[in-house]
Amino acid sequence: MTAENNSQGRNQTLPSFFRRIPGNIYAIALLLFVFRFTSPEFLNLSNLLNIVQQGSILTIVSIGSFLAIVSHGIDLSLGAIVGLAGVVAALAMNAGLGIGPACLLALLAGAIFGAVNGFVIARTYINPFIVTLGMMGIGEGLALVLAKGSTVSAGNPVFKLLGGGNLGLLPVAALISICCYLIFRFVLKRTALGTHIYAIGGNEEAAILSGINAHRIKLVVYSFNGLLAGLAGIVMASRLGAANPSQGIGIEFDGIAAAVVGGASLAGGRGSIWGTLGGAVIIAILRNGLNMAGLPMALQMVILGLIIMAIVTIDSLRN
Amino acid sequence: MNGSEVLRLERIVKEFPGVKALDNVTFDLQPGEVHVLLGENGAGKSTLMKVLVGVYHPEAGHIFLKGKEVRMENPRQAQERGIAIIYQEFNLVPSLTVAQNIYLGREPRTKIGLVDQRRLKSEARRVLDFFKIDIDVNAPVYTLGVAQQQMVEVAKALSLEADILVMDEPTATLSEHEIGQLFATIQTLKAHGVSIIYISHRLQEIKIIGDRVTVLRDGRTVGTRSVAETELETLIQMMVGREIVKKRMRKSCTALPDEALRVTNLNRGEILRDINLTVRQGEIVGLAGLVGSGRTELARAIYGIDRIDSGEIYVMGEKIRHPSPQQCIRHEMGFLPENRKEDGLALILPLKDNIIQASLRKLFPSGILNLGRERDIANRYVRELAMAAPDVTRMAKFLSGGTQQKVVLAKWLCTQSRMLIFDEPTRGIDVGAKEEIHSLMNNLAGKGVGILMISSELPEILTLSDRIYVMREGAIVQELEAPATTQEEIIGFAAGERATA
Repeated sequence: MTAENNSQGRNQTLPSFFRRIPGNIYAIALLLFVFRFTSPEFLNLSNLLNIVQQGSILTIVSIGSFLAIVSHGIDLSLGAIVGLAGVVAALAMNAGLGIGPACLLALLAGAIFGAVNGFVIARTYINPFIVTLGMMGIGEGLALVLAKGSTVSAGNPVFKLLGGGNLGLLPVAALISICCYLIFRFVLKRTALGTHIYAIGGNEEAAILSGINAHRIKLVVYSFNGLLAGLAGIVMASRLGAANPSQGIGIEFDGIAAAVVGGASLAGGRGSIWGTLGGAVIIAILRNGLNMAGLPMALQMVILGLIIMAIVTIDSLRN
Repeated sequence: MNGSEVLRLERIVKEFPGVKALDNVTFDLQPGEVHVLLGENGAGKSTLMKVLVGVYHPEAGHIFLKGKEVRMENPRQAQERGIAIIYQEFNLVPSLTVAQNIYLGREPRTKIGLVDQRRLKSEARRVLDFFKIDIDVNAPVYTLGVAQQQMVEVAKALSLEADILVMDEPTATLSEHEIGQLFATIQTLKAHGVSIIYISHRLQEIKIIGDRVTVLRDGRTVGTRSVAETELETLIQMMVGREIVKKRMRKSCTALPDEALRVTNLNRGEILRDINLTVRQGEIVGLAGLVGSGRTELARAIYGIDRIDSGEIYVMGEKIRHPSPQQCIRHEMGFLPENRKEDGLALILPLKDNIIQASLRKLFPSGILNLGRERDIANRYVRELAMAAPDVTRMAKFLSGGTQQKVVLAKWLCTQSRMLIFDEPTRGIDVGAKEEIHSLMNNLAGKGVGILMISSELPEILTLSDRIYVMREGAIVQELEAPATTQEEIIGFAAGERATA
């Protein structure tokens, strides 16, 4: 019986092959095609690299958004951590620390911040939405206090390579985000931890009865989120050559949109990190393409919102 | 053909791609009768009801309503013609009151178009009073018990002036006492001339509430009988198409002398009082008692889900210091909860992930998975337990109740459990799959696994257990040897009619 199923699985007809391609790929192809006409320079190599660079930061953040969503939570504090970590890194360098230690300090700050999220969520059963909303305010405030309300310069030329440099043609930032993606893809698909994250998202009660330590898993998930957002903060500060305490505000929503556009279910337990990567690329292309087309900012926001809703609707109809 | 019948479905045929779901099914309903529709899962009961209310349109056949042929285009038409269905999952809004739910979407209005609260309440109260249903119309629905919520559904159907009421497994989630309430209401409805189509798995209650019974099997009508003149054994035979031998499955107790589980002096508030019990390896111990006697609470306490005030728990001779699901699993004990869908399974995850969920650390100590091995293991259990599943990536929610229970069982076999607690192992599972689960449990005991089984079905307790504990009001009131006892004796102790020894 098993052998039969396998042979059926392999014997795919052409339409079913097309159906198995994630919808994201179609959406990306369509967007590239459309923007090709709205702005002639859109497909230039320099602009494409620009998209990759901008998209890198969102990709890193959206992995965190996805982890929270798939465990049946949500993380609204990612943008605040992006700001906080950038400020911490810049201040540490200005205080004379080397680039390595400064970055480590920023990552640590992000991870601790995330761990607090995870600890409160796991222990108190307060809804993650509320916990991370509160922590978003705390993080933004903390970043402003540390930066004394203004932008902190981070002009070290070596540091600037992280977010702005290229390795051959490939931006270093893209390399970093691809590494993050591969690592977390491995964690989610090939480790017990990953399966446990899906399990508590799928049915927390059943997971606990199966002996899974849901507290620990949540702590780990939100700590990872903090770490990822910290990394995104460093890359962003490096690209801009300065840490603005408000640099990350709003990116948490792009991250959530990327995960959902990529097929993640807000009810938890469902979705893939591959889809989330696609979602992040789509949003990066949209932002760049609408900008290149010369549309006013306000109109860009409206169109972005409409397109995200359309993609999610189409995706839910396909299933 | 009887002229007075309210409904007649004649030679209904309904096909789905590749399956003939209904094949010449005929069914009729007399005024004021309870006509039971009986059959295993997949026999076609639900499909027939969906044809009746116009969700499905049959390929052939006729529907006669009070002697006149009708076509049911959609559920709304059925509703207008006085047919109401109460599904297993209620369609109530928990935060709204009873009255608001009964008239949801058709609230009485005042002249200026606002909801007429006074009339809303008085109308709702009139419907409830008429059918002698004792519920406060101002109570929010979430404050009601399951049985009362069901009564609200009944009231909602009746307020639509329905004279044909279809009830789909109405007692599946009710306690004994609540079932009593429901049956009283059904009697009142009958007295008012409402005809009821009653879908159920539970053979015992058919005897109590049914007038006639029609058995479906594989989409065909096997026959219609008067309930009073038919033996339960005959009905079972009609359902499964073969004779089920009703005898003790456990020929002799093969239990080893070693204990699998020992609980001493366990207390938890007023809910559990001074519980002492043992389960030997290879022994099946039944835990009987009425709903609310503390059986599930005891299982949850032993398994470390709920905190205990005092008491000790030993698994395989070793004391569990801080009871928690993780500790219990480490000591090779597993738990199959009563509500598979809420507590036992992740419905949106594949079958494979559900099976290996509790064993990942054991199978892959490094924390890194081997996907091929994962699939092989899952496939092995699909084969061993004869699960009806096309492949291991199938989402758990698409499996039948019996197969879902097998998935939960496979999860614990996969952890190599040597002590298992089953809470209502066959609730909501059809007769054939039930037998399979029973024989699986029997085989496990034969291999030396200790089993503690909570069940509300006394035949299940009697056919499967070696020993039986009876609980009442949070305490174990009696221990019985299964071969020597009877249903009557168990009920006597459970209800407190018998003095305990």
